[in-house]
Amino acid sequence: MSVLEGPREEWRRILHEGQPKWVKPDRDRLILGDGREVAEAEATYLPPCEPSKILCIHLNYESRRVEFRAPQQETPTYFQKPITALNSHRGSLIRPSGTKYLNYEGEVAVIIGKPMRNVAREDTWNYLAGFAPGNDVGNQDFRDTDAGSMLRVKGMDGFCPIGPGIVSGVDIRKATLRTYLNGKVVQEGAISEMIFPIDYILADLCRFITLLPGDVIMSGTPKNSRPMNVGDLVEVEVTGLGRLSNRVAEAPAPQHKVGHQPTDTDAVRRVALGSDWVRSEPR
Amino acid sequence: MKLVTFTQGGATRIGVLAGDAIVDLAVAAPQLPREMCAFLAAGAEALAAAKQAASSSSARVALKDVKLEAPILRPPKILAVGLNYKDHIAETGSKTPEVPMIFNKQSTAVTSPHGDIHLPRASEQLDYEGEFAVVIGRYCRHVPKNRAREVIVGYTIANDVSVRDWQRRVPTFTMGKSWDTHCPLGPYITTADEVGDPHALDLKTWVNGELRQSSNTSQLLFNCFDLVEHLSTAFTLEPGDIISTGTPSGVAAAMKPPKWLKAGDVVKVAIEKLGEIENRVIAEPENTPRI
Repeated sequence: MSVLEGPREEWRRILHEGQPKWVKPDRDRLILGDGREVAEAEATYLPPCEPSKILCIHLNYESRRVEFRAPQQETPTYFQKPITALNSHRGSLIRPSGTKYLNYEGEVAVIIGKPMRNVAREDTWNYLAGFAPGNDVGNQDFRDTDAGSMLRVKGMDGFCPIGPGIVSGVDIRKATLRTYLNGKVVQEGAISEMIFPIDYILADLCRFITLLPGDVIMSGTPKNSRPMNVGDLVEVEVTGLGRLSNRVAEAPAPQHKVGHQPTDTDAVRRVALGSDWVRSEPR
Repeated sequence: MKLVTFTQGGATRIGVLAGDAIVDLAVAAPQLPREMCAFLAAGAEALAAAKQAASSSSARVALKDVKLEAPILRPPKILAVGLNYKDHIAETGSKTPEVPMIFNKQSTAVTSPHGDIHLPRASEQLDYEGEFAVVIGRYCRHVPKNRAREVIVGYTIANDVSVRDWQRRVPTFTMGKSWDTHCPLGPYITTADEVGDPHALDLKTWVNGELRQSSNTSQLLFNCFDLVEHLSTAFTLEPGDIISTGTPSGVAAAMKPPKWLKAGDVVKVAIEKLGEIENRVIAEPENTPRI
């Protein structure tokens, strides 16, 4: 059955007595498989899937394309986040000491349910476990290195929180995404605004890459991605899916001073500050 | 469909006008964006969802219980046209422009359909300009005039309030056209399907009940579609952009002597099928935020 139809169903994953457990939310309680209950507020969340890969699309909302004055593209391009970037609802987002531009990017995370290879666009919905709010966090201070792969910008530990759970039975194509920073809406975009819809992305990727159950596809962010400060609460809400919350914390700078150091160049600011920087650009 | 932005109970959101009530889209269609530009960017499907939600009898709030805001609180761009009505060109004694004379109003100039207009401390030459305004519904570029309808989501009323001495003492209009509160907008966006021919609408402006401007959008030198083509030749138009198409004759500056707006005056602009906006002029408040 298509993930877009049927009754809404949500599964979350928590750490319970030292073990990962799948639970179903019921108001302020989480119900374990054996019928026991945990207070939602006290639960320790785990990421709601165990992916073999996290694939992400570059620019995919028209509002962000215009914000960055990017040309229209015939076909999309992608990048990867390492599995170690996976994070959960209420997990901390760590900004290394000595860096400045830790940006939020509210996104819809698509979670694969069945192995996918060579699937037509119209059939892709039958292969999904569900959707979750996600945050494609980036440390733009490392924008000047890694030649466009963004390995460190987007790949640091914990830079891919998704959750609180996986939701099926929601027509994601009609939903709206909002990012809140300390309670204030900072991003808002309808999923219908996507340049390349979710079914397009899936069909495109699985022509050559087998997508496996638990794999995560990050589907892009609307305009107004901006840096967060230490202590900020960032929340990504997708209507029908719920709200993912994470707080920004700071960690000591790396112990060993090798390799590329954070930079604060025009190229860094252009991405970190979006149109706030673009508009102030001297002509 | 008449789309509004309104505030009630401390929250600002969008809705659809239904007689003397507003259908609150945050309740009737919670999956839709709550800010007008994001809503417009969501395209035809979101408009259809809003239209469907608007027919529901629940999720209604009485119009008298809300504050109507400018339908677009902070348009990405406010583009305006000087000398675009044949009668206004005559009254100013200007030459008929061969290309549209475009200028910007800053987006911070927007105020609500019944908000106060500030009489600046720095000028006494405050003037009104009732205008027919186009609302852009899509990101677009290089739109030929025969396809302009596809990117116009609807129409609204603007008052292109002007500070004439600041406008005229330098070659560019920017400072004279962009004072805070000098772009009352609204009261709603009437979608294009309800307007029909946009170039057959009566436009009237009154000051304290005295009719000052009376014309029809058929008198536009460059019509809506010409303007969309012209502007989008140069830059991207975005959902929520406003194109204020210019004002007809009858502005205060053309009177002898000029009847500048004074504190206490009430300016009303009405356009057929689009409703009316009415704004009181007050002295620029002492508590205007400043450095």
